[in-house]
Amino acid sequence: MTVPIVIDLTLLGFFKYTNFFMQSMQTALAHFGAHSHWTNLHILLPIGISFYTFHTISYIIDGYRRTIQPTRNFWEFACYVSLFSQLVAGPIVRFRQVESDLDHISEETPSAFMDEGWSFFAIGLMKKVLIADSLAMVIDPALAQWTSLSGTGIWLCMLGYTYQLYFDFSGYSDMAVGLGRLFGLRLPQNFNSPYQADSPGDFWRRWHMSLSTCLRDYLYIPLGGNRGSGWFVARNLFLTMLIGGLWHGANWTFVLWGAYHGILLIAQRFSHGFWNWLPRVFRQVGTFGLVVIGWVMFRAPDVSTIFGWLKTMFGGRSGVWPVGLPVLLPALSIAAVIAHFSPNTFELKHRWSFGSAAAITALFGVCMFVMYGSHQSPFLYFQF
Amino acid sequence: MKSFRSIGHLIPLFITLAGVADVGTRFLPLAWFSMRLEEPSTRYPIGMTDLTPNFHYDMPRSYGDLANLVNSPRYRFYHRQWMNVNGDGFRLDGAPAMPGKPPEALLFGDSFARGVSLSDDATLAAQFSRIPGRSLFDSSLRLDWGRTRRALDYLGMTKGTVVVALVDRLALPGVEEFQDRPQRNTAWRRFNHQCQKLWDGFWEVCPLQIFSERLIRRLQNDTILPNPHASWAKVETLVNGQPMLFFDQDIAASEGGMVGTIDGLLLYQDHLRRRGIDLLILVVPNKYLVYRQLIQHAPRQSHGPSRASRYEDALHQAGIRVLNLEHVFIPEAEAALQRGELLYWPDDTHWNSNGTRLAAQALAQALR
Repeated sequence: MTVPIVIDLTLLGFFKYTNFFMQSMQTALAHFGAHSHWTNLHILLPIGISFYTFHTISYIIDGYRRTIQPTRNFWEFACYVSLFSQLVAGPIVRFRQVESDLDHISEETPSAFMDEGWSFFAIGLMKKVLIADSLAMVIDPALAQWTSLSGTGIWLCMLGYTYQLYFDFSGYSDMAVGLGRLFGLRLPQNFNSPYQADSPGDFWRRWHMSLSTCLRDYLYIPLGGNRGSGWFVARNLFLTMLIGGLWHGANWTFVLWGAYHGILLIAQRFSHGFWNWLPRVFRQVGTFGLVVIGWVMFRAPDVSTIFGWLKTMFGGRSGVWPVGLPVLLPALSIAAVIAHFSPNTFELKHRWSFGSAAAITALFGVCMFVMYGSHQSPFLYFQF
Repeated sequence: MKSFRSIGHLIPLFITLAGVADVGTRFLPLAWFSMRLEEPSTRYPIGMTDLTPNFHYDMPRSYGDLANLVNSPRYRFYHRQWMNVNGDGFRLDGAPAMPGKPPEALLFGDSFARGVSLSDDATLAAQFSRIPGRSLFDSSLRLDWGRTRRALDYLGMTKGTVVVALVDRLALPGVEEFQDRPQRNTAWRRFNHQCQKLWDGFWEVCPLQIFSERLIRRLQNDTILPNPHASWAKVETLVNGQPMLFFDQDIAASEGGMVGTIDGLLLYQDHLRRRGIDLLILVVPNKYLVYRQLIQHAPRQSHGPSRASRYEDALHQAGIRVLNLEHVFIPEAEAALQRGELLYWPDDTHWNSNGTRLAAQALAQALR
């Protein structure tokens, strides 16, 4: 088992982290007075490498643990690893989750699957184009010139980014699930209303669920999980979140973000019931606020910008507001209502009356029309 | 029937209809959707030039590229623009192509030479050819040696001058543009080339996309949504109170150093000399260089020579004939403004008919 996993991780490390480690090493050496000049390697990052590395690792480990029966059909394995709908940004699919569907992939897809598939796909597209991209049109140019923004302006932008990331990524996941349904595959749920979570732990059970479960099963539990002393468990939590942060990208901002969430999970674990003693609505608001602050680290291009944004947000600096408030405020309101109070895509029945189906089709048409005229807006998770 | 009312049928049906609409609207004339004639006139360049053969269009409300960039209708300066192209793809603006009677000069160059934003009677070639006894043929071509050779052969030119108009914003053309590559102009290659151009022209321009872009840009007015292109153009007020738009690259280029080398133009001159043809480079000053002293609260005085002057000096020292219109345009712009006239469109990077008339007169003097 070790050899193929090492090969997988070596490939991932080479493509994704070589330059990051070289730069970090250079900076560290410079601190000790040893100046080195290593040129960055021009490495073309294969699209979706983090996701299919996870796929193959989970396949190897599950096969080793005899959780799955490894397939003897090469095409079935290739289809599992490189399934186009979820290849580039998840959800991360375990082989056992699609094993039986892959066995029947050549059969005709039931019409109920077709209806569900198109419904998932259309809702995902609306989340991406109508909400996430509308927010991005305002906050991206504003954050590009953040030094002129007021503290409230940056708060608005970070709130916007919080919803943008959710609607962008969960929209992509919905579309992937929808496309999977069209081919007769039932891909797993990746988001379960994460902004309705009432604790950091609950958030991670609802956000990017396929990644969280992979980190739990293949990292946290092998490290020792909940067994052992309090410090040992805290170490496991922290290391898991740190590596989870680094998985998102070769940048210290992601490491900080992972460490931040690790600290939140440890703090929750050692709060000895105090957190649960608070009314649920306070816990939900508090968790959401902590998550928004975490996204500051996730969104900032470098570490110094993180501190600049946080200083402005909590220092109450005066400055300008983002341009585009007539779009930002309604988009934030709609996003907030859907994210905090509405059922998520997996909770919907996807059995629409003709009127509802026609309305969804019309909105699908609006999305297509907007996509025609917009500049390319890649999914945010393509980069991870 | 009931099943066709489900979402699993409605969305695929919609996608099919959208595909039909996408393809169908591509057959409509592009000029219906365009702000000026340059884009539609270059959609299917299957003749000898970069223009669509037999293109004829009269647009009553054309407006400038900068007004389009800043995305604000209040700065648009609507004007009529018409354009006619012959069956070989040459614009019918300057001297006509007549067998056995080649023109005095042949014009190449960038968008200024091609008369972007101008009607057939207002281009540089048209203004020059209107001077009694003078004739300038508009090649309607980008500058390179292969195209020049084709145009010279087409006109049967064995003497005279090739005039190359270059705006100072752009870099001097490189040597690779003037390599003497053997011509392999077989019928099959021509057919293949034409099919490729038709295919590209059909698929690269989508009227539905233009509609959608316009709608989104209407919202990107720095109030409803930020205008991502606003920084590309700057609104200034002239000393007579008239607003004028300037391109940010022009502002940067006005005092910039040379971009590129003169080696390419030296090679070009050698090619032309072997055919008995002279070369004259017409350096066109950008709009900001011409008007910067006429802007209210003029931002700053010039420091050192302009890029147009640097081009002029370098070309002159290399033995290439050059006419720098900066020396003509800057004093005349002030005099024209006192008469209430402009040499460039207020909402465009290009010159207007006053500018081309002035340039034609200066060129006629230089070629005498």
